[in-house]
Amino acid sequence: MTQRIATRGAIAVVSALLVAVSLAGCARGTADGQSARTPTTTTTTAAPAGAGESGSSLSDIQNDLNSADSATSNADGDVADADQSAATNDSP
Amino acid sequence: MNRIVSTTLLGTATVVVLVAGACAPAFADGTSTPAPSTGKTLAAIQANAKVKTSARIGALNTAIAKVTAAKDISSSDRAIILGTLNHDLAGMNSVEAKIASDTTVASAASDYKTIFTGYRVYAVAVPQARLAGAADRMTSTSVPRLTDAQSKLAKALAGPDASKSTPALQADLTDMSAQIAAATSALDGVSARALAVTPDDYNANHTVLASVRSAVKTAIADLKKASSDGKTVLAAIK
Repeated sequence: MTQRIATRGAIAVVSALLVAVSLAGCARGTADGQSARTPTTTTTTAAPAGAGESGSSLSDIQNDLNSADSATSNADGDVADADQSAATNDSP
Repeated sequence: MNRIVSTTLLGTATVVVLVAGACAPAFADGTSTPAPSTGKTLAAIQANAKVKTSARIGALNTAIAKVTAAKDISSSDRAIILGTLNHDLAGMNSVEAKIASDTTVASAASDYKTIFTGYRVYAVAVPQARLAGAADRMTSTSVPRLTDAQSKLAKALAGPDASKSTPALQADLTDMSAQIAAATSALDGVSARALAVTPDDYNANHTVLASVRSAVKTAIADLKKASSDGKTVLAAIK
């Protein structure tokens, strides 16, 4: 009788341990597999209308000028290529 | 005395003729490799033709790569340019094969001339591609970017930076607008004019591309001045 009670107790303890281990594993899996955090929405403040009062607007103007300069410089290079080709003898 | 002068002149003339003869092959085609002369034998014509077509094939491939890589050439112009360059590339390969298979001096000599007169790779195809590309770059990028910059600078001087405005800066802004307008006018229809030129046009008039080149150079100068004006104003309000 005493032995049966001891056996049942041991089974209960082992079962409880198994349940505890299983629940711990589930918790970890949930933590690892959690969905990505929703990105925080950042509100961008519109730049002030005045160029001189806004660093970003000044840089916009600088970028415009740089972009124009680059294209114009490339056009200059195109003309140099055209001149070099045209200067090459192309007659029999 | 006269004999001495005559002898000196004769010697000088001889040296000039010899030097010119030695240098001519090196300058032909812009290459340093001596090209075989356009001899009267079939083999000489074929060898010379091979040099001429190979040089042009190289130039065409270079031009095709540049046009393909250029980002600010309009798609319609790019299609026309690549059509011409690839047509000429096929033509060079074709005429090279034709001359190699010619069996008479007369036919080889006749085909040899078409390397130049039929295509004008150096005089027309490559220059027109580069000039049209230059016009497109400025029309699609330089002019709109400078127009945007001018507009932003005008707003700044009329608004928050009005205290920094001076007659000189206002004159710079006005000149910037004028330079952009002048460039826009100079570029009007230029790429189409460049791409319309054919080898036959060049054969009839060797300066047929001169006005196109002049317009492109004018636009470049105008846009450089406009950019300089813009930088002056920008520096003043920074």
